[in-house]
Amino acid sequence: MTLQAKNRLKDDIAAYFHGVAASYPIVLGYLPVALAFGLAAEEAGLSNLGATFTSITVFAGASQFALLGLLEGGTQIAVTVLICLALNVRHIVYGPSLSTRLAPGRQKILPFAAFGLTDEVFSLSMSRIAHIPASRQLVWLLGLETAAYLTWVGFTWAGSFGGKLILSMLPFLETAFSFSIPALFLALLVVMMDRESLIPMLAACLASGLFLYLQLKNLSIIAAAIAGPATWLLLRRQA
Amino acid sequence: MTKESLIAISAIALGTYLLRYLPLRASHRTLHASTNRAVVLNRAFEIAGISVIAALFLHSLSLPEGEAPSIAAVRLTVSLAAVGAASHAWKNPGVGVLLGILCFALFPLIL
Repeated sequence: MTLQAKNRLKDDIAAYFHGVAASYPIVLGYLPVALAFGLAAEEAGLSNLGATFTSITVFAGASQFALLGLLEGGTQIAVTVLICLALNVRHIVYGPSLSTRLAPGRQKILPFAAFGLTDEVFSLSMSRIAHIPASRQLVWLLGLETAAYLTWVGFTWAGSFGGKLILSMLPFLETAFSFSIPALFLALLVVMMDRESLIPMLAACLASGLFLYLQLKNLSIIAAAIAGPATWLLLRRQA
Repeated sequence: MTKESLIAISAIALGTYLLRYLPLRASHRTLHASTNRAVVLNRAFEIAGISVIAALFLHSLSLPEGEAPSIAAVRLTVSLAAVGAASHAWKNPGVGVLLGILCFALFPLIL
């Protein structure tokens, strides 16, 4: 191995662990949710292996919870798959949004980085990735995703194995950490927002709130993803 | 785990992965062109990202259970204010989250 290759590997390893360290707000948020999923999966009759397998392969909280309800209710497989995928349609906008902050190159890492692009990983990386050196961005993202993924899978297993026991021993855990997900999204908004994005963001909140009020929870994310940029384009045209 | 469950989980896993990977791959190639159209598209997707985070924030909000709604609302508001102030002051979302969780956990001890 040449000295240049050695240095590159060293920098990649440092960036990877920098990503792992940056993941702590996500880890705090995933801990109680993954425990709850494991517990719910066990109660829904999915075995310990089944619950862990779901978290290993799907890695998407909302659709995993929906899957449990649908399997328990005896819904047809095709309908179950379609509903769960409809819940994940919002992930379509994550890649293009994140790409705006990613430097080109290192295409080989993209298929791996795409697997871990959950709501929380996407949000945190949107606020931080621009500060990472261009050639290390995807490696940093992999580090961030690895820690989030291991927490998700590990605590799903723990939840399905002994969730009731853990939550009865540490009852404050569920309540205190249940706040970490809204806290994470708000903190990211505060860090990312600028003057130009304020009005589009308020329009997005309005659209999302309207769909939530109409009980169309999943569509509300898509509505926000359309309303925000549409408002920005309108304002830009008028200026 | 039944055979049906295994098929459903595998199909959802594959579909979710493709929903994440294909747009990322396509945009990673096209958004870096330096044309005016690409610049506008780039910013529009950036705004879309912020909008989605705002919607996810709205989704995730719920009053803590086991308390009177008014006290639960105060607890939530105070904790969110702590998150906002700390994130703004330190320009670091992690510090905001940690302070917010601390505030949320300690609130019942104060009131």
